[in-house]
Amino acid sequence: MKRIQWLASYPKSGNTWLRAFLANLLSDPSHPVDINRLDFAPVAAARSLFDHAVGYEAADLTFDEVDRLRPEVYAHYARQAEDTIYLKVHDAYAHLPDGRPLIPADVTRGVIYVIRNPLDVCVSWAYHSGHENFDRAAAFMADPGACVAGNPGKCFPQLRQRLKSWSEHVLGWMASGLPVLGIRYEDMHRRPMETFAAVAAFVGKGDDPERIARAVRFSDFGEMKRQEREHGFCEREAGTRTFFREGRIGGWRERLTEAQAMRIIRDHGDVMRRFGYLTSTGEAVY
Amino acid sequence: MMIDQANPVQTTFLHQAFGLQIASCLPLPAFLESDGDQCDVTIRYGAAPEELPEAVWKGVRFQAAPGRLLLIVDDVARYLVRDGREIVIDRAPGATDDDVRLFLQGSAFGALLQQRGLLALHASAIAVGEGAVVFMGPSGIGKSTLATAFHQRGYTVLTDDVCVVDFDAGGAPVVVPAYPQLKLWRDALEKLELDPSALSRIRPKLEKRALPVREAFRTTPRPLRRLYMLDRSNEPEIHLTSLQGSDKFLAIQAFTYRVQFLEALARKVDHFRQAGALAAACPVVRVSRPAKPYLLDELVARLEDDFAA
Repeated sequence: MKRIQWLASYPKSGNTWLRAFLANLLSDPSHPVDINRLDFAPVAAARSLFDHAVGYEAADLTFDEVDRLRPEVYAHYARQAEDTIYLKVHDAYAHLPDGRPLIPADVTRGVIYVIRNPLDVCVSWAYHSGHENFDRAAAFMADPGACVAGNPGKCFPQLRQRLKSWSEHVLGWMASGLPVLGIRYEDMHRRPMETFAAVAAFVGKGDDPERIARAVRFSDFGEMKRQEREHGFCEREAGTRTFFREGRIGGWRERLTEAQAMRIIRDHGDVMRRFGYLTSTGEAVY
Repeated sequence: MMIDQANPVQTTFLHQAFGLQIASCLPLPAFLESDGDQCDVTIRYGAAPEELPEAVWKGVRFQAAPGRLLLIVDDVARYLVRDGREIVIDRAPGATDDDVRLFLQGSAFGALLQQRGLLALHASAIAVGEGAVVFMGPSGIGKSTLATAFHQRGYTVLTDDVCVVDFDAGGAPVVVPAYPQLKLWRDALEKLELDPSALSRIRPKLEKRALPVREAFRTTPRPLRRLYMLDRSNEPEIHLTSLQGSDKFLAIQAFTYRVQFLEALARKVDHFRQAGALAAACPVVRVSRPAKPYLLDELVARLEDDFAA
């Protein structure tokens, strides 16, 4: 029953990169896997997954009624699976009003949680959302009530997902009590072999260094950007320019004003310090 | 209205929808009334079990066996659908009529249609000339919005969400009209410049409203001219692409209404045959439109050009 490997992160933190690596690692192809075919790991909040498992539509339920059924939806897929299944998830790790966790422990094999410097997340989220307003993005990241697909007057392809604040998102997953491998986006860049080897070992595929190296090469940022330029990327939001934008560490330094950066550091300083994004004297590391 | 002889406590309302004559304990104002004495389907209140012991397939809130489907909607009702002829509703305390009707007219009827051996698509449909065209696609893609836009331009809506496709004596596919009502989200109503406050909610707690479209509605089946598969993309333009070969079949398969019920109903083989016959008889066109903005007027114009051709 412990079949589900969750690929968890706050949005714009490197989840797609992680999935591209895993897609290449698991299938070990001779050419890089098509970034438009990362469907081995659908998003857990996909409306179609819910509707198919439940037998009626999330669109006919309230958000809270949907949430009450979601743990059973995941248990259903775990029960049917013959091997590990991968699900991407941006929801905060949270408990429902009746005390059950949204992510059931008894069907969870493990969680790979990707953390990224919130200063860079802020810039990336502002571009992804199409508004390119960093104050708005920073306010969203500080909002304990933040959610995506949360407009009840509209039917999105994804179910409503509560994100909570960026800090709560990180702490919730890291302290979930589930088997969690936390990796940093910055380490995916700076120490790819070491970081991705840990991912491979965590999913039980750590015994072939050449295969891991090939998967790292096939999923590097330049490769994904090339594929998006040539063929487009289905996960890009309409109205935004590119999904794979800069993929840089510290890009915030050229975008955020000092006041914006200070606000993010004020909102998330404790968690930033704990995960190595802030020095003991309060300076940004990246 | 007539009094149910076997159970005089239950009042019976006579309706028609999906080509069926229905006697129901619950009034179904979205369906047409019927005065016929023939009855294909009975809907009554009664006890439905919590489990279906003979179930060969279980979802999260449905259990199915050949000729049987149990649907469980927490705090609304349990629905037992039998042999394509009967739906037993076991109401939860506190559920409103609207709550009970919504899942009855959706999944419970979906199961009933399958038990009757009918092919039902997750689709809206409109009348075009003497024929019909069908818009299939996933929830939220804009099937109802598009059908409403056509209605505003004078077309007759044949169905909103569940589209029954039957085959006439010569084996040609026909659309069996369902009932004249559309369901629209608040954002769709805004796009269509319709006033939400003039329309009733389909469920008290949902921002989705019912738009009656009774004008010119007829229950006569119409030849199916073309199937459109609605899709959206992050591209800025609308694209129409004719599907070929097995892609046609796969699209019909993917947008079969409640396809997850079929396995247990022992209907898989029949469904394959029907989907195959439909794919062979009818063009299937993939319609990709930008996720933002919707380009509704342009989409309607492109489709009008396409089905006029």
